[in-house]
Amino acid sequence: MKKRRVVLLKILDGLAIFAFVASFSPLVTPQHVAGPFVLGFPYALWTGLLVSFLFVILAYLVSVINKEENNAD
Amino acid sequence: MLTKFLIAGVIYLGILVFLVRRTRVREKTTSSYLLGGGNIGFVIGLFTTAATLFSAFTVIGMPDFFRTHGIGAWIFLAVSDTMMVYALIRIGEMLRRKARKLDFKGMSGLMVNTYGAKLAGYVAFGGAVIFLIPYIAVQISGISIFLNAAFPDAIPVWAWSLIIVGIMILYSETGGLRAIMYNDTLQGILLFITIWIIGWNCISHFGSIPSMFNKVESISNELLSVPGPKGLFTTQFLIISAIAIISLPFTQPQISTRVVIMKSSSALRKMAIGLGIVAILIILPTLFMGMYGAVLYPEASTQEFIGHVLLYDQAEGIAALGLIGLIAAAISTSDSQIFALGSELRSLLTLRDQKAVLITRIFIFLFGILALIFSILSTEHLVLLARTSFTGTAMMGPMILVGILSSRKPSLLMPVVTVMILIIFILAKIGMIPSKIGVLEIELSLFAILAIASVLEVFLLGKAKGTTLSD
Repeated sequence: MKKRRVVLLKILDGLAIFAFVASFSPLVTPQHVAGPFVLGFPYALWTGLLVSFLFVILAYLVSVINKEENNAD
Repeated sequence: MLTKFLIAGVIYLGILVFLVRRTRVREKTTSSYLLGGGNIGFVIGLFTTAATLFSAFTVIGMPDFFRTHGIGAWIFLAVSDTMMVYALIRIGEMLRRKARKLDFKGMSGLMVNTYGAKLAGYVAFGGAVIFLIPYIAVQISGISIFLNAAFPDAIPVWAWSLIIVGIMILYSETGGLRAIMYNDTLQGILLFITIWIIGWNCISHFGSIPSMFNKVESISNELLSVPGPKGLFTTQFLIISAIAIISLPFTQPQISTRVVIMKSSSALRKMAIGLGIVAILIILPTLFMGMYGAVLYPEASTQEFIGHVLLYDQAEGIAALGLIGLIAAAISTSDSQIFALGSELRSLLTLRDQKAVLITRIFIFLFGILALIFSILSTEHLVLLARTSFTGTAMMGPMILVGILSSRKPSLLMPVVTVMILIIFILAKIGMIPSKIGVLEIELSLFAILAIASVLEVFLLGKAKGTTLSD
């Protein structure tokens, strides 16, 4: 069980590192490119919004995985 | 407008007084006064952390940042804030464990205990004082200048600063951290409601979000991409900002204290996730305000633009609420920072508790006065000074993280390197040494040195001493 938890946390950390790197790459923030627009939002903004939500979701998943873990309480 | 502002101000002050009376601590000990009883639930924890995090720089600085530099400001703050939430949820629990084990009174004291050397504590405390006092001051001065511009015939700028600092000191001294947290909750809710009403009004001006961006595109296409019209949001700028903001829960004592005193790990987890959602919801309306300004007031000064978007273009009732929201945003961050500096000092004192708390209260008062003096002397460059403050404290991040994550006492390498790095950073900021090394901004070079020092500590010195990272 603990091994599975550690593996899952490593996967989430990997995704977080990938999202961090992507945020500062042309994938999310291409220089001088406004389009394509989605629902009126320019590209770097809607991808930025997606990344923001992704980090909140990743944080939520960490909290679910760590729920059963012994903690500082 | 002045009448409505005064009515709203009296109601706001009345609620503050009520909360201070409810939370008043009669017997002031480190636990009850400085750590708020150490039993903070999810809702209060969320609002106090959010109010502490989102200061005047969010209300004034971010709309202006969006207006001047475009949508890259979202990556600068919102994306970085949600990254911070992930770091908080991953490392916060380890901080809490360490804090429980080593009788946490403040991050500086924790560093003394972790490293077994006073130097580490002095570095953490010194860094906090150097970088937080100017940030507190610039917030107070920013709001005071703005209030003076709104009511030019009322009272001078310094008198507004005095009133704001007076309110902060009064309720901090009376009720301690618990009073601050309850007031933060009030201020956080007020800020949230105000900023959304104004943001919504800004969208309504255009009819819809797509037509708002269409209009912005017709004025300046560069606002809709990075690095923005003035080229500010370079990849290096965004990375440095992200590192600085991600480090906040561990390097800014007013936030780390809140992480430690949460009632339970479950409350901390809920607070962290809530904080991510609140960050998105607070920054989004500042984007709308900024785009509104980019179309209607592209050439205006910050003062003029904020004056229009918060006051003159709003109904009088909303404008009065906007002003109170602005004051609340500044106060809720500044009071927490001043109080946290006091707590940091307390954590370094090894005196009898009653005497230590008394000295701490005197210093909270002195830190307030110091911030007041700086605020009267300083000019306002809110966002960039806030970023310098975040980056400066982030330089202490590796030392603090190595301290938190090590299961045994680390060597003095990290405190010594951190002192040197802080000196170099300050010299670069005041222009005595270049702010770039080759193509790299100096901050990135300094972060790289700190990272190398951390690797050396953990994998070489730590192994030699048997130091390991706790899981």
